[in-house]
Amino acid sequence: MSASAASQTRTTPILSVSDIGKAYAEGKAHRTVLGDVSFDVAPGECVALLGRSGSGKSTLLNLLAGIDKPDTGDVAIMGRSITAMGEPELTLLRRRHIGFIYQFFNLIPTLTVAENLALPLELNDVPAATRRARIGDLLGRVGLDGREGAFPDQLSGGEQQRVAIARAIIHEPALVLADEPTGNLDARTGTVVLQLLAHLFRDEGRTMILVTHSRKVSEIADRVLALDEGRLTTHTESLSW
Amino acid sequence: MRPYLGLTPSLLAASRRYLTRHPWQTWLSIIGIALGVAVVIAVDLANESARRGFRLSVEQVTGPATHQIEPASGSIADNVYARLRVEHGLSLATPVIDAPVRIGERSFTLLGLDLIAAAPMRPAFIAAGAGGDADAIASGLLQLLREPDTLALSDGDAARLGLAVGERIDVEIDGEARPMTLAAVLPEQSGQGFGGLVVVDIATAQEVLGRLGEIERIDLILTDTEAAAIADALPSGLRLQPSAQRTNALAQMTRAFHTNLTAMSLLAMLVGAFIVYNTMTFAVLQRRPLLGTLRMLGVTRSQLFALVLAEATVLALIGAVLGILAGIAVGAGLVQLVTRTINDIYFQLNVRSLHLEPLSLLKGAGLGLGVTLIAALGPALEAARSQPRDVIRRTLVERRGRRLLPWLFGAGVLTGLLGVLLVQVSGRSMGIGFLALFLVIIGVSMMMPLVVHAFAKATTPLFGWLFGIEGRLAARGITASITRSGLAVAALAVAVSATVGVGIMIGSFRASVDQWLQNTLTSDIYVSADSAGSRTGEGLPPALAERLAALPGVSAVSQGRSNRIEARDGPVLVLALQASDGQPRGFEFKGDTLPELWPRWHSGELVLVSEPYAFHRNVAVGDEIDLFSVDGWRAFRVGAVFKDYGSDSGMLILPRPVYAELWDDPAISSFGVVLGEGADLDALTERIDALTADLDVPVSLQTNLAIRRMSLEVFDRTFTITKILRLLAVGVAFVGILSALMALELERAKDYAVLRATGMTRGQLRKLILLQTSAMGIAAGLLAMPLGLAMGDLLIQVINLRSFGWTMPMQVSAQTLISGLILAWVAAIIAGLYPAARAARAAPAHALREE
Repeated sequence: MSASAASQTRTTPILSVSDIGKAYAEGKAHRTVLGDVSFDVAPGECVALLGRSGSGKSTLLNLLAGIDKPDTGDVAIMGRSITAMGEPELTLLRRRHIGFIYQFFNLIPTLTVAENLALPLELNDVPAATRRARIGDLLGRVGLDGREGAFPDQLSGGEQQRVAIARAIIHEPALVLADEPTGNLDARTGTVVLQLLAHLFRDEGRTMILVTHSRKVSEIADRVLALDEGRLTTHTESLSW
Repeated sequence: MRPYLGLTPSLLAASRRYLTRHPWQTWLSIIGIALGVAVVIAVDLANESARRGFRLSVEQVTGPATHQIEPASGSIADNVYARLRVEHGLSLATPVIDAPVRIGERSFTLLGLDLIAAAPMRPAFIAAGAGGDADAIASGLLQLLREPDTLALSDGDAARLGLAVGERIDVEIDGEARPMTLAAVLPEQSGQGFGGLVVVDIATAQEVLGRLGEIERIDLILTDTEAAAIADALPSGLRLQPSAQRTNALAQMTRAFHTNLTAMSLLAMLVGAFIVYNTMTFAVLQRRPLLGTLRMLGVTRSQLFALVLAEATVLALIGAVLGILAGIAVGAGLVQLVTRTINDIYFQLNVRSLHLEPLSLLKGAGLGLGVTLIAALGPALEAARSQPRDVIRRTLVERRGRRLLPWLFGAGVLTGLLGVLLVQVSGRSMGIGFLALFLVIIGVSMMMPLVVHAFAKATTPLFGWLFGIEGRLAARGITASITRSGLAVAALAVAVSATVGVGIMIGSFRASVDQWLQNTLTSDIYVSADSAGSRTGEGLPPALAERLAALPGVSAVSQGRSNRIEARDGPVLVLALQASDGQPRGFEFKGDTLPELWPRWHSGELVLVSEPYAFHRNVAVGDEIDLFSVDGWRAFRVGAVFKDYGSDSGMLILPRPVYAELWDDPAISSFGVVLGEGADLDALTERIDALTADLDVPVSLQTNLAIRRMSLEVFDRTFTITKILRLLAVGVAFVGILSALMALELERAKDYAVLRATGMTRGQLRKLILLQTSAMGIAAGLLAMPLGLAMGDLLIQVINLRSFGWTMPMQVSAQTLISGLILAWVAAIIAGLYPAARAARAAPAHALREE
């Protein structure tokens, strides 16, 4: 854990998860996907959620993003409970304070690279001049100088994910949620993207929750939370993934 | 500055590029809207042009006259006009005779006026005199007064005919050419100008029309006080009526006809709405994951809602502009058909060109825009319902769509029932009748997706058995994408059901008319006065009856006189009949009749009224009707209501002797000659021809068969325009199904790629898609049957009755139903050809990479 991160754990956590549980109906039976999960994430901290397929990682990520509601417990972002929030409030929260990175990039195919990056800024009413400056700066930092006018289908998978990473942080959110960010990339490209993530987040003190099934990916995190059958466990080594 | 409706530049760019990257989908949707708008505008322009042509011709003929003095029957004697003018000090009054004539290929109205009396009433004459060559015009008008067989035309008409002042021209009156001289050219103006008129002095008109000593009416400009005074002082047999009343009565005659055309055009718009709904729904469904991503990025529901509506607005605006252009082009052709129909069944109307009424264009474009936005509301709401988690769950949409099917079916049942209920409670309202019809159509089409789903599911084994794996996949493909395939089938089914429904209506109508003609035309040969030259017809001499009866081979001769006379609520067509052997035959009565019908009818106590007359004027057996006779108002009791398809504004039947006395009109319009046993029709026709050759009046001879044939020809011609509109609706539906299939093909590109990668040949893929479109076409055709039957029933029992007052039994021919089925199937197959070829051509690797 970095020194700055350690000092910030004493301040209000960016994310606070308290005893959340979630179950889905399967026919007449109920299958518990998550049970009594609790943890806090401090500002500037990078936390990896590690688990096998079906361990409840994606469900947990959806609950953290406010796109699904827990059956029990509470999720608070920046000290505010999101489980009680209505849809418009959640939308504004995501727009202003959360960034997303997906396994399948999910760039808008009909927008150029620059326009994809501009979208979160436009939604947050950032003036055009500031938008242009920030897009130029960020593209340089993700190594995509000169690709502003390209459409997603003209980019490689690695390039698309770099754009997605840039889009996730361009509006300087308080929390970034990344779902298997290298899951759809070959090993070499995955490593490059991982290095970029580590650089952007660790060096700039951003807060990130990284969902992955790969121990190697989780190594860039300050802290690893292992999920096994919907529950947090500290015995990460016993998990065979 | 805040973006409008929260639509940021990037959101708009994403939307715009989505539309441009799916050109087929976008353009088919635009074409759908454009076709709908075009049909509405074309019909409206044609209707408006016909109405305007009618209004202008009435205005040109009546001029600024506020009132008319009209006779109860026939004409007014010259001296009556002179006496009225002197006794009542009528300074602004002119005698008038008008009649349709032809010059070359063009129709005109010959207008005979007292030019000196008319000059102060018609400022246009004075304006003409004050125009460019005032002296020439003034001397020309003088020549009209002094010289026989002289006429004046508008400068526009003279130029179109290539005529100069002083040149002679043949004017066709009653089918005979009469050489006349162009004495003056008057400026063509809008409103009360002279376009379409052949202006002559009243004396010339009397001479060329063979109506010496007679005038048709007197046009006057009066104040209300003057009008009241004159009305009281008029001699018996004359009646003063406001000009507007006469014009309105004529305009009323074509109201139902115009309304029916408008309703047909709205049907095309309705089918166009299906296309828009289909396209926008697909555009939303296809972008579901993308919309989810946008929601994750913080785009609100209202922003997504506005985005979809903005896309629809853009499509609608482009469609409306194209629709306006196409509407003007189609309208130019349609106006000829509308005019011909009005000429065939109502009155002589001369519409020279399509009048581009800005309101019609705005109305059509506004309707297109409105319907598009309403159709896009559902998809826009669907987009607004997008959840961020939709990024992950792609199959949710279809599953949710399938869950909604029973609800949609239920809502459809309720909507249809509401339509049926409206029919029951809406009395005679034609507007609500149409609304009910549209509710039934919409209701049934809402029920269709569930039925299509069940149909495809039920026929999967059959398709599998018949066509192997391609057949099974084809049927399953329909159920898998029921939200789109169901809509496409519904759109096609609605359009085809319209052809089936209208086909049933026309077929039933035609059969009823044919049956009615057979019943009504009880004579073998009809001898009529060719009465084009006068409003009421000059008539044949009554003495001809005896001479006809004396001819060898004749067993009976009936006499008829038709005339338009005044009832309290406007003019009505009266047919006065006299059968040589007692009571007239060929009547089919509706409901009860008064006791001792025929004796009381013969005595002049009772009148027979046609079904449309009874319906429109709300009279029943036993009611009284006042008719304006030579002696003033006279009451008749309705003795029976008879079936009649001859006039949609209705007619009355009186005994001819009573009519002749009360209206001082002994002339005969036509004689019906019944052949004796074994008599030869051709030989008798020749004998009648010879007998009538020396009559002063032009005579036409027609056999029963010829009249029936001609009547049915007119009938068929009347419905040409309906058939064209029907085809246009199918055209719109074809665009709809093509659009839906293209959308499905795009959506399934990956599935098809997997099939190709697994070993399916191009041919097999083509077969699969064509089987699928075939199944959709057959489903649409089958669904169109019940809806078509319901539509036919509503058209016959509700629309036809409320529009025209006609009732008829529904007659369904197997041919109509089968041709509907074939139409749906062929349209679907043709629509599937291109998507099938495109899918088969696509490289599987590319499609597989796309995800």
